[in-house]
Amino acid sequence: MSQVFKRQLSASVKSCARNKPLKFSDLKSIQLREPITPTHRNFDVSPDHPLWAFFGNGSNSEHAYRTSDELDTTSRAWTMPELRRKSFDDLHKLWYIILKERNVIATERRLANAIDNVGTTALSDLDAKMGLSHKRIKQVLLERQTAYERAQTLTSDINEYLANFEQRYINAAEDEIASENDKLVRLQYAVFGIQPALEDYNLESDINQKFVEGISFIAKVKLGRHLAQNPNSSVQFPLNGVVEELPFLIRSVDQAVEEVSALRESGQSVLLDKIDVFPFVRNALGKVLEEFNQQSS
Amino acid sequence: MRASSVLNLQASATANLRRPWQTFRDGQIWYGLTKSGSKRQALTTKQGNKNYYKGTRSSGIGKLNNAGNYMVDWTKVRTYVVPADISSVSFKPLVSPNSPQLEQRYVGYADGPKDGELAWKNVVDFIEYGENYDVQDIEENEYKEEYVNPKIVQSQIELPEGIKQ
Repeated sequence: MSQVFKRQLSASVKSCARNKPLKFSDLKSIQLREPITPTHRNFDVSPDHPLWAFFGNGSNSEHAYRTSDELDTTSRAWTMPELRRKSFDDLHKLWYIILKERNVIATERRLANAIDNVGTTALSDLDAKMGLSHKRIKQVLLERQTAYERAQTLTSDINEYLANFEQRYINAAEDEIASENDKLVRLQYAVFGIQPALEDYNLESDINQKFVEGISFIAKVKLGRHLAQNPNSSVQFPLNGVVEELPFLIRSVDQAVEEVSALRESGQSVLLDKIDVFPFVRNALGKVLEEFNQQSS
Repeated sequence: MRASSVLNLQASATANLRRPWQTFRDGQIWYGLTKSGSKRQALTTKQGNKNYYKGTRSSGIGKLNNAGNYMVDWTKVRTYVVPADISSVSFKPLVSPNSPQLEQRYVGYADGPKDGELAWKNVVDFIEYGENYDVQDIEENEYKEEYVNPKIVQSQIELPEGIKQ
């Protein structure tokens, strides 16, 4: 009378239904194996498994945690003088190596407490030493940052050195100029943050006020030397802002002088508004980088 | 509750110390419902009034858009930059007790390694002499490093002459 509603798809029922009777082969010929007890002892884990990194002895670990005789209790934390000698990259690596070890110890402490309710003083002591190293790494970086910021405020010293350098560069003899050029490359990196190699520029983050000041300084120094040797050169001071100064960073002096005189003749040399300076530099350096990449590939 | 005296509501130094005395426009006081008792502890997430949201520093990484979907701003999501060649590094998390401790001395630099003058001298030396210009053999120097201000050295050389005169 009433239709019974079944929650199913009629199509799938038909396709899944068995339309032939079940048939078995000779059941006596089937060999049964010994059952494998499902415990962790009956399974091998690959020694490359990344989770081994959470155990004290890596893939050689026999137990979930190390006891106090297995631990290295005599070693000490890294000291400040040792860390001060390390580069930023080394400190970065050291931070993560310590962090990894602290992670292992945290796991072991947890397991020792949970599984066997064992005291974990030795582990805690180790962790304290490594925590101290971590704090010292941060302190060393803070010292460097403080020193760097304080050095920025020594403007009279910096300007005096730059003026001296300019004089030395302009008056350098022919055999000294190679070493002076090396010094200029280091100076542009240390004082203005301009990378020595073009391919290392990060156009997004590197182009700032210092960078533009650096371009200006390089142009002043290089053109100054050029004019000292060729007083009747086609390009004379003053340079018209970053448009005329940038060629001296990218090209050799002779090429740059040619480029600037061509710019002046064609009337393309304009004094940029302050807001246009960074985009101009970014754009121009981007084009040079592209050319460089095409040549190298 | 005793009414707070008028003096308490003025922005004097002592009234400032007796926080909270500022109110929102609806008359509610800042971050808390009481003006008395112990109030120098950090508030928990459960304390404070409707304007106090403490959070766990884990949210606020994006915004809801018009459709009500949460758009994550990936610049706000914290990232961990792990050095690429970390497995090939020979550093150990702790230092052997047998390795001698290094001693550093800063002469003529008031704030030691934090001194700006020293940092600027290092920059100048780097420009003049190139990378690794100051590598000292610490084993030879019995694990002692000295950073001496050249100005001090000069004055020490000049001083005996002055005494002679």
